Amino acid sequence: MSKPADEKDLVQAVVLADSFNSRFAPVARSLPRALFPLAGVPLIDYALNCLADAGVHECIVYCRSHYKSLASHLASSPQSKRFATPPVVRKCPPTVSSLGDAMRDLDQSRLIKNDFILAPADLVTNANLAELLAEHKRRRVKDANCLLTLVMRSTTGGFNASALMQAQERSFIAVSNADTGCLRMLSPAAMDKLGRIRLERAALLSCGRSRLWTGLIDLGLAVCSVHVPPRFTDEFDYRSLDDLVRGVLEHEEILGHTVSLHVLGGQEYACRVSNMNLYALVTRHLLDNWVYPMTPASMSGSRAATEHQVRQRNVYVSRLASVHRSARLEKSVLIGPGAQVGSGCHLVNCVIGSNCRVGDRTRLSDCYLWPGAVVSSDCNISRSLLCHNSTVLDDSQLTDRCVLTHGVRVGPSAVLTNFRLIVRSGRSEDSASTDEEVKQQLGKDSNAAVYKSAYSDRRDEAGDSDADSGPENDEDSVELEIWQTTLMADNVEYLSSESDSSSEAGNEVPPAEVGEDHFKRELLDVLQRAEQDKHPVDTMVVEINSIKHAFCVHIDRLKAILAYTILLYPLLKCEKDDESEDCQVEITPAEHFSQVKDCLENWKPLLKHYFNGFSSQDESLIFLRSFEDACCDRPQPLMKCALVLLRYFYDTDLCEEAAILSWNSEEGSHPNAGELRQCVARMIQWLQEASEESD
Amino acid sequence: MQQQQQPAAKELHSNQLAMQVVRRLSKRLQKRQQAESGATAADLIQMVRREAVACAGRDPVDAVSQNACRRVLKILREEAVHSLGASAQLLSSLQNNLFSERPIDYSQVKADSLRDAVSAAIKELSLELETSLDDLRSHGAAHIGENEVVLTLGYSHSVARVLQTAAATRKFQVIVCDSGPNFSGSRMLQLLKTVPQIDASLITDAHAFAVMSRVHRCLLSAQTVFADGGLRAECGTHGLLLAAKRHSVPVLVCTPAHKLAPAYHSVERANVYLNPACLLEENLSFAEVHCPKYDLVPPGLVTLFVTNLGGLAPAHLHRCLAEQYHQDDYSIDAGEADGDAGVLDD
Repeated sequence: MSKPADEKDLVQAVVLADSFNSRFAPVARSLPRALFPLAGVPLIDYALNCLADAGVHECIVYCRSHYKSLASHLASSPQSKRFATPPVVRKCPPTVSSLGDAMRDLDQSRLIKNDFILAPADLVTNANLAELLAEHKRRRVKDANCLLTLVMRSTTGGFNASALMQAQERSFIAVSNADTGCLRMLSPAAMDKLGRIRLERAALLSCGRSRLWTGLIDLGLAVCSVHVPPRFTDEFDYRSLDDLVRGVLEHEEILGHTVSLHVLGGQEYACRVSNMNLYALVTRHLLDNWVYPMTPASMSGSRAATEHQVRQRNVYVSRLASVHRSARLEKSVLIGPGAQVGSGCHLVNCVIGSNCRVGDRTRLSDCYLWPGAVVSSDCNISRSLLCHNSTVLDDSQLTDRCVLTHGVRVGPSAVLTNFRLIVRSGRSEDSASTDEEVKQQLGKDSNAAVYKSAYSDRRDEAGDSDADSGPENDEDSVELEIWQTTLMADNVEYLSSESDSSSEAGNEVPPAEVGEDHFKRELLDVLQRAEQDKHPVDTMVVEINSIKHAFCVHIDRLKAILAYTILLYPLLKCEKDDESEDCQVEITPAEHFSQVKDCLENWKPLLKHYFNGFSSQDESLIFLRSFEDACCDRPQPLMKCALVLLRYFYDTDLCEEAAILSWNSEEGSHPNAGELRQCVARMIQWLQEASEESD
Repeated sequence: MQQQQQPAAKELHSNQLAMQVVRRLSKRLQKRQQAESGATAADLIQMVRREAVACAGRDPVDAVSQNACRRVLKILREEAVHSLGASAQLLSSLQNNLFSERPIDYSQVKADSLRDAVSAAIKELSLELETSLDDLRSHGAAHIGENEVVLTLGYSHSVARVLQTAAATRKFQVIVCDSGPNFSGSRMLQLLKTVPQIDASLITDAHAFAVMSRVHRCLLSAQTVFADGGLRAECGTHGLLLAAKRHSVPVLVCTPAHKLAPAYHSVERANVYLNPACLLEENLSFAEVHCPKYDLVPPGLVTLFVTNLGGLAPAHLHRCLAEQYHQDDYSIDAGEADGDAGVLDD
C-alpha cells in the first residue's frame, strides 16, 4: 500500500508494546510480551495485521525494554511489509512508566499528524478498524469536540463470551447516548452484596435516550483525535486512557470535549492477552476459528516452509513437522515446522511450537510449547506453559497451570501442580525457594527452582521488561499474578446473575424526569424574584446557571424549559400563588398575550443569551418546539393567541421565516399538535406566499 | 437475519479472477522474454508452474487461478512442440504420449522464438474467458422449459444469468434455498424478482426435501468441479443433491470450464471454515462448532454439467480436461516452490 499524496488522508497508528506491569515478570525477562508466540506467531503480528487491514499507512511502536528484539522482529515480520512505511519502533526513556507518559512523549515528538488508532500490542481482534476510523471521522465532522472513540467488547449475548469474561480482571458498565454514541458514564462494574450496580444519576439525566451497557471488556483500543496527546501533556497526572476518559466526563461542561463509545459485538472478536488464562483462551479461540478471518493458517503466511495442512477438527500440522502415525491429535492442535511428535502421543488443545520434541506415549492437554521445548516420554502435562528451550524429562506429571520459563529442566519423575512458576535456579535475584521437598518434586536432574513472585516481598524489578518499577503503583497497576488466579468472587457472582439481568442490558433507559420538575420550579422562582426585584439579566444568568448545575440539566433541555416557562409565565405564576386553594385559573387569551409580550420584552436579553442571539435556525427551532409544547399543554389560553404570538415572534426577530416553516413541516409529538398547526395556518400561508413572491 | 461481516474486498467472479491471473502471467512472460535472451521454453514453463504453486499456497480452495496457470502452461507446451517440428508433434499425441520413451525437451526451444505465437494464443484464451459467461448463459437457458419449477441454492452469478436469459423467452418458477449461514439466497431472490417472467420464492435449506417432489430440475453452481464429477460447492449443496437423487430430479451444474480441476474428489480436499459465531450465538464454551463454507460433494449426484463449451455428462469430464490442460500439469506440487515463488509483482 502506498502513502497517500495528501497528508490529510494519512492514517497512523500507535502500538504500545509495553504493558507497564509485571504480570509476566519471569517469563517476560527474556522475551517481551509483544513477542510471545500465540499459535506460533508473535503476539504483535496480530495487532499489526489488524491495523494493516484497516489501511494504516504508518505505525509507531512504543516500547521501553527489549528494543532490539522488537526492532529486529519488525524488520523481518511479514506483517510490517504491509504498511506504506515499515513500523517505527520508538524506545521511550526509562522515565516513561505509563500510557500517559508515552502519550506525552508522543506529543513532544510531533509524529502525529492526524487522527490515529491507539492499540496495545497484545490485542487480538478481527474487528473492522477501517470502519471505526471512518465512523470516528464522520463524528468529528459533526462534533469537532469529540476527543476519542473508545472501543470495547460486549460480553452479553453472542459467542462464547462468558469464558472471556471470566478470565478478565474486570468488566465495565457504561451509559451512552443511544443516538450519537456519546459516552456519559464509564465505571468498573462493582456490585454490592445484593448484586446491584451504582449508576450516576447525572449520567442518565443529561442525555435524551440513553443506553446502558454491562459487561464491557476493556481493550485499550481507541480511535484518538490529534488533540489526545496534547491533553495528556496538559494533564500531567493522567496515567492511562481511563484517566483521560474520566477527566473528560467530569470536565465536559468546562472543556466541551466528548468521548464516544463503540461496542463490538456479534462476530467481532476482540481480546487483550493480558494474563495467562487469556493467553490460553485466545489460543483456543484462534485455533477454533472464532477470530476468523485470522486463522493460524492465514497468519503463518503462505510460504511453503510454514504452510499448515488443515485437518479435521481444527488440527493444523506444518508440512515440515513429523508426527508419528500412531499419535492421536484429537482436536484444536497446532504443530509447528520442525516439530516431532512421538508414537502413542495424545494431544488435545495444544500448540507445539517449531522444533519442539514430544516423546513417546506422552499426553498433553491444554499445553503451550514454545519453540525448542522438549517433553520426553511418558509424561502427562495439562494446562501448562513451557517456554523456549525448557525440558521436561521422562515420566513427569505437570498439572494445572505450571509455567516453565526459558531453559528450565525438570524431571525425571517431577510432580508439579497448581500455579507453579518454575525458573532456573542460581539466579539469586529470583528469591527462589529451595527446600528439600520442592527439590524432590522437581526431579533429581532439575536445574530449576520455584519462583516466588516478586510482589510477595514488594521488591523492585528494575531489570524486568514489563515491570512497572515506579514506586507510584496505585490500585490500577497492582501487580497481579501471571495466571490471574485472583478471580474476583463478585465477578463470578456477577456472571451467574447475568442471565437474569441480561434483559436489562442494552435496553433503552428513559431519561429520568425527577430532576427536571425541581428545576422547573426553581426556574419559576428565579423569574418571579427577578420580576419583583427588577434583577438585571446578568444576575438571572448566574442564578439559572447555578440551578442548572445543581439539577444536572443539559443545556438543550434548559433552553426548552426556559422558553416554555416564559411563555406560560403568567399562568404558572397565578397557579403557584393559588396553589393552596387549588382553584382553576382563568385568563383570557388577550390578557395572556399582553402579559407574555411584557415578559418577552423584559427577558429578551436573557433568551438571547441562552439561544445565542437566535442566530441559527436550530436555536429558533428549539424555541418553537417549546412553544408548541406550551400550546399543547395549556390549550386554554394559549391556543387562541398562538397566531398572534407567532406573529410577534416573527416581528421581533425571535424566529426567522425559514425556522417557522421548517417547524411547521415537522410533525408534532403532541396529540394537539395538528390543532395548533391549524391555528397558525394563516400565518404560515402568508409566509409561504411572501417567500414565493420574493423568489 | 444474522449480521454478516462484509468481506474486505469485493469478490471477483470466477472468470474475472481467471482473467486477472492470465493477464498477470502474460505480463510476466513478456518481461522474461524481453529481459533474458537466453531463456528457453523450459524456463517459462518453470516460472508459470511456480506461480501456480504460489496461487495454491495463497488460497488452497482457489482452483480457478491454478487452472488459469494450467491453461497458460498448455499454450507454452503446445507452441514449443509446434516449433520443434513434426517429429515432436507426433510424440505429443495421445498414444505416443503413453508409449514414448523420451520426454520432449523444452529447453531446446528459445523463449524468444515463441513470443508472437504465445501472445496470440494468450489473447485467444483471454477472449474465451471473457465470453465464457455469455456462452454458458446461452447453453444453460436451453435446459429450462416453459412452466417448469427450477430449484437453486444461494447466490450464483452464472445461475442468475442463465435464469435471466431463459426468462426472455418463457415463463417459469424458481425456488431459491436461502443457503445459511450467510443467506446469500435472499440476494438471489432480490435479483430474480426484477425479472417479471420469473415467479421466484425463497425457502430455507431444510425445506429443500419437502419441495423436491414438485421440482422439475435443480440448477446449481459450484466453486470447483473435480475430475470425477465431485463438487466443492456452497454449503447445503450435498443435502440438496441427495434429496434430488431420492426424487430422481435431474441436477444441472452451471460451471465455466475454468472451474474444472484435474484433481479427484476427496473429503480431505481443502475447505474454508468460517467464524462459528455466525452459527452459534449462545455462550457455549464447551461446544465445538465448525462452520464449513463449502460442501465436498461426492461424484455421482450430478446429471449434467453445463459449461461454456456445452453440456457435459460427468463421464465426459476427462475429455474436457485433456483438451484444456497438458497431462504433465495435472498435478502441481508444493515441493517445487522455492525462491521467489511467493512474490507477487502487481
